[in-house]
Amino acid sequence: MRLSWCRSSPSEDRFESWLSRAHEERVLAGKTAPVGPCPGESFLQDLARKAGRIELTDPRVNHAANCPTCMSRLLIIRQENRSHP
Amino acid sequence: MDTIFIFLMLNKRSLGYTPSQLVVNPPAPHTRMTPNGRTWRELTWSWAYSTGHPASDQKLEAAARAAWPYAFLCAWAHLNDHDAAVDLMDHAVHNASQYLTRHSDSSEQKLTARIKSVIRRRARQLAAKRSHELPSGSMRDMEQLQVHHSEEEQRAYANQLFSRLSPTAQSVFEWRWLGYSWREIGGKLEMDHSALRRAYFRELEFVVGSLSPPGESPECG
Repeated sequence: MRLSWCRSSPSEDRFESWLSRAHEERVLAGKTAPVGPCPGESFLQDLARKAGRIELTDPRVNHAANCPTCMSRLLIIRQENRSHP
Repeated sequence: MDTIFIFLMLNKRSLGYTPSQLVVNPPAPHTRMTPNGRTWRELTWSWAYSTGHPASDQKLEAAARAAWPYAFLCAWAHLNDHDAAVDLMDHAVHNASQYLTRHSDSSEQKLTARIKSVIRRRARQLAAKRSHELPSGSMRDMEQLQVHHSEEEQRAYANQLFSRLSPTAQSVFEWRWLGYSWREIGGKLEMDHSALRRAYFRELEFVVGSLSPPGESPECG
């Protein structure tokens, strides 16, 4: 069977949400090993609002997604951005 | 150390190479090395043939290095096979070296773009040839993972899952977690976003299908 994948299915969305929660839980619990130093505040700000100049292959992106300190900060910035768009 | 110039009939795996001048620094091997980096971002191999012109070779090597992550990504997304990246690069570098012979003034950026274009075309051709589209689309296993297990079990499953994802899928997951859409990720990586998403969920489904029930030892490998 070959399905069309033109857009995300609700199942995919649900699974991604579940996976994201699980990821946040394990990162914030310190169960990951981020590589390299924490990036600066301006980089996290750019990352949180997906600035065009961010390169996805930048090692700081990987660090920020796996470091409890950076993730906490990112979650706060996201929340602030949602409150004050 | 003296450099040895030899001619080699490069015809490995019937790729149809014409004889190329090979520059080898002994005791280095006479063929390219295979990639063995931990992540797809690392390039730990090089090409063992050249255009015969050092300046052109430098440009070609720089362009190939720049295009390597793209080959790795295409191999994963289109062929479900990271190892195929080496063959894709081999094909593309061969093509680019011929192009460079005809257009020696080509810039490194132009060469990189050409290599990426050849990689993309080749990956799509191979995918169509192999009919490599896996029968996927059922999310049943993934849904059951969330519905039929306690939170503790779900955590155990999630830990197993994360530990088994390929570096490429892990990177894609992180970008998704950061809020990038498939289209944005595809645009940043110069990839078809549907192929990316398909490859990502294909891998997730495969990994979920291979997970051990909580409490049991995970399968080796």
